[in-house]
Amino acid sequence: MSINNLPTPEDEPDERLVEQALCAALRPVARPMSRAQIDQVVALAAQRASIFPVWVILAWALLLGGLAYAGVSLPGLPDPVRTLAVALPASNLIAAPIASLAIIIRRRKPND
Amino acid sequence: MEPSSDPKGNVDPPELIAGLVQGQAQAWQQLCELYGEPLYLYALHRCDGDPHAAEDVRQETLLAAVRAIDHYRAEVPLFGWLCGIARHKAADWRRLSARETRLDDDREPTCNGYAQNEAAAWPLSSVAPAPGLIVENGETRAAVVEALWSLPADHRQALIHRYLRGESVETVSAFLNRSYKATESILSRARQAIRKRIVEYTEHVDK
Repeated sequence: MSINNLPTPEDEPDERLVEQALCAALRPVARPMSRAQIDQVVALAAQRASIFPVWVILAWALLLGGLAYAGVSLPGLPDPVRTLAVALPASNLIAAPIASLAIIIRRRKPND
Repeated sequence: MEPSSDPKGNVDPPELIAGLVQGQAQAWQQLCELYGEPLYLYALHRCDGDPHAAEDVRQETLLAAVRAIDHYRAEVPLFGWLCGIARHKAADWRRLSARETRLDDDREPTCNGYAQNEAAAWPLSSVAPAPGLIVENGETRAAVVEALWSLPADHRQALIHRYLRGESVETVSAFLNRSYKATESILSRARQAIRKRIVEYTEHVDK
């Protein structure tokens, strides 16, 4: 503990000011949050936590697009486009167009 | 339950912040229990003492905090960060309120929330602020609330017990389980922090 932190006679105005400031700031009676209000906050937090991060969806879409462009098929599936079958439902909206585009580009190449 | 300040002086436990970022229900519930009431007081002072507006601002602040928690950096105390959001929400309320007042010229003037609360005033202390002091300003009162809940828990408790409940330093030291000298030191540092915040705010307003 530093000697500088000990109260001195000069602290007196500080004490008065702090006392008045605290009394004024804490004078109204605070209302606690209701159960419904807390539940609303908690529910929103849980909802946001369950959403896939955007970077995961984009990475998945790029991977599928790359596989489709390279002509990779999953075992037992004849067409690269079936690669999309493994896409998660949440990421299909992004993955499907990228993979389809990759297949179209690949099929237009003359020597492929 | 009050958060205990760690030896490094951090106000908010790192595990609480980690839980909030991960969207853990328990962490968000703890946040509501810790800061719900002071956030209401902060909003109340920012909303001209209107209790309904204060409740709305508090709720909107916490919902906005859920959406923005990924951007929180622990450079400022969590309560200070919440107050930053609440400040904007209260400003929105004030703008909307002013517009409604202009549109409704015939409306009877409503009772000021501070006046309504006057009957419930001073539940903890008999010391009333002198008229004309800067703490009479609602925004300064809000700044004091922000400063108080941005302090480590033991500093905040020391101030409340000493100056609001009027307890002696000996009683406060027994409550905190600290020596007399250590308690005096805590009180001194806490006073300086509050005073600094008031001065900073006053200078900010003057500019």
